Amino acid sequence: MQKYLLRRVFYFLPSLLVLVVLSFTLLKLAPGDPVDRMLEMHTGEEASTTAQAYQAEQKKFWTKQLGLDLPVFYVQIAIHQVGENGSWKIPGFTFSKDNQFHRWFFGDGLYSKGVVRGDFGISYSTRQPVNQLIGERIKWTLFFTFFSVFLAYLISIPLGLKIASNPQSRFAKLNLSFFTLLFALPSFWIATLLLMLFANPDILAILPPSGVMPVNGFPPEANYFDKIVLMIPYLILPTICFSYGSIAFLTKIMQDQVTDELSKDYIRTARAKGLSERSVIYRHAFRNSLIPLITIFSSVFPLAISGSVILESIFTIPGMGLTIFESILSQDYPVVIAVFTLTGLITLLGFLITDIAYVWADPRISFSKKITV
Amino acid sequence: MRRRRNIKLKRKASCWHKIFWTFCLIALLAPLLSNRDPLLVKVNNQWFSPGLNNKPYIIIEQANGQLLTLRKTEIDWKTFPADWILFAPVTYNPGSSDPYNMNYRSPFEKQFYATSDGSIAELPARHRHWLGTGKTGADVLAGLIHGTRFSLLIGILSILMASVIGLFLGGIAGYFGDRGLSIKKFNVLFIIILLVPVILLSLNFPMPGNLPSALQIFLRLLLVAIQLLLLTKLPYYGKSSYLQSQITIPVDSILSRIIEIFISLPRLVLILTLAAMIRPSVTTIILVIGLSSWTELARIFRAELLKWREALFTESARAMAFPPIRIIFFHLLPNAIAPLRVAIIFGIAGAILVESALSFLGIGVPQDVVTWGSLLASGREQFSAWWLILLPGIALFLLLYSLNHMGAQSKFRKIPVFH
Repeated sequence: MQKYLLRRVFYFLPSLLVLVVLSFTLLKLAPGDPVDRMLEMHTGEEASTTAQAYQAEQKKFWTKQLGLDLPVFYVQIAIHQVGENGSWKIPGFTFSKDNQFHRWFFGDGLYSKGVVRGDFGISYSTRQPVNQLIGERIKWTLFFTFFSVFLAYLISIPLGLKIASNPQSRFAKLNLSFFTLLFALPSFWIATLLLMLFANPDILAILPPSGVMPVNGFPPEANYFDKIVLMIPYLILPTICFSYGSIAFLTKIMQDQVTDELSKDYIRTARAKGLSERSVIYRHAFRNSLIPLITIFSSVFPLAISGSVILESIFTIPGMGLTIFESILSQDYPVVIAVFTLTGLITLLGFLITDIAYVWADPRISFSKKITV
Repeated sequence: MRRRRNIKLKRKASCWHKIFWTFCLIALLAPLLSNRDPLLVKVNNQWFSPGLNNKPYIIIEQANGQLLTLRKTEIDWKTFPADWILFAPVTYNPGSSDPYNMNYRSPFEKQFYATSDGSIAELPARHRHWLGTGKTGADVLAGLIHGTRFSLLIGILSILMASVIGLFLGGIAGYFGDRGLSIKKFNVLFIIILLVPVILLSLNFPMPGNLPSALQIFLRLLLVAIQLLLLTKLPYYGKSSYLQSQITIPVDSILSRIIEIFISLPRLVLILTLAAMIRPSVTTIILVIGLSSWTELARIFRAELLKWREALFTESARAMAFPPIRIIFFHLLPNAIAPLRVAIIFGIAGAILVESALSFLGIGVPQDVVTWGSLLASGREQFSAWWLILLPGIALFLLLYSLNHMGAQSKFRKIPVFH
């Protein structure tokens, strides 16, 4: 068990490394010069020549200060020009300890503390530190993700059990076809439809169309409980949209699992012993069919996170999804890269937790069996 | 290896299959189904087909012998004095504005057009916007028809790309396993010492600067290929037994790690980030979706190969000294078709969903292309335009559901296997 945990955590590291290097590459590939964006140079007609010269000086200074003239990575493939007038080019490798990636990742001790300490630089558009911006906004994404996944498990486990225990009933058939339909519905369409139906003055205007709390803020005398009550109408539609896909998916999985378990030998034995049907289902089949649901968590979790981009921008929820959408539109690359890195990190952690929980729940699983895809 | 054609299973195409193939047909025939320019026109005993070619004008020989050149975009075909005219079923292009039916004209409202004498009259049924219009008067039905084409194009091409990558990598990993692929140490040395510099050198080889860049790239790649060919035919294979001994490459573990890393990257966020940085175009979307969805296919093909690589027919193929590529793709691939088909169908559904989400957000998809997602997004600006919200969603749902249904069905379909 401990060996498994160690190896699992060890395998988590290369994924993390690739994620970090990929984020850095994306940051470097992003169009536009970061110093230009930070100084917001005006090279138009209104700037006089002296001002332009000053700004060019500034740019040079800051490029040097921020280390943007350094080599990009530890290893570089450089082309040496040999011969008269450099007509022959010979490839070679140069190594440099002080480079842009190193400064970006570990900090330069002067202007940034490095990604490792959670410093992603400064947003181009709001001039706010990126980690502060994300710290404000990550809570909504986490809230909706966890709440919807929690809700999905809460609803779909009893529902799947009920359907599987009596598959011939009208209730089961109705539900199955309903959930198969539900699973194919694109969430952004459902969100738009719900807004059209319930937040539209032409049809029904019972729910607010956007945001997560009253626009004018809470009344000053409201206590914690009142605030939650005031926020509920804002949360109804997003919660439905965030969770219905997972509910449909999980119900189907649960139903498949229980049906599968019910056809096994030990269930027949349990029935032959004379146990009641209720006891057979709840004490035998139910427990064994729970294990795969843990693995499913690792596919539900990233789904919920990336689904948030669309849903948050539809409902204007100030979370990570809306942040990445807005910063993509305003070409605010430090924020984009930060959100990308953090989302990847959360997904990776979700995988890690899932795998550990899986072994914890089913000790028969050995590392070699699980880790090979 | 003979194809088994003699056994045919009786299959009844379900209604969802029919719906899917209808969508494919609509996508193929989109320019014939919805076109602003008529498919056939007869003027002064001359036939034209302005809707079927890309020429920007038509030249009519008049009764007095003079030639009259007309720009296609300037002709109002609704009032065009033709002897005989054959319109497409929907007489509008997607996204083109209609100044007389602007501001979200509902399908049930009265629609207007300008007659030849300049007065405004109600549209005849032939030219009606059957499913209403958008803000600029763009026909919704035309958008839906051309959106089908866009969705299916992106879904199918990106999964095609994903399956090329996935089948290749999964095939190598599954067939060779961790111990199957070994390589002489000499070759490893050779690759490190000689190949890398040679490739780099030929990529930096001085070229005359006035060549066009595409030709330069081609020439450089040609250089690389020639040098690779020359080097691999190198006669020297070393006398020392150390260089002759082999090292095994654990391709299987390597691929498993790569797949794990790829799965853990947040797909939609990565696609959004890339799409925001690269200039939006159809090729970009296909590349990005294709590159991020090959893992599932590689996994499945690898797992299937694990099942079959010790089978007798594989062994006999190996005994006949067939190259691994031939065994993998001509002997083993046909046996793994059934689960791969399921994955491909679900993959297409996923790619279409991602594409429509991207165009709904307006990121990565060119602004002038009308898709289901962009129609839906335009409906979000005006909630009273229910036809803009309801219809693209229904189309998307039908396509996705039919794909899901086909995938779930072919899971249970028995495919006879003979060895």
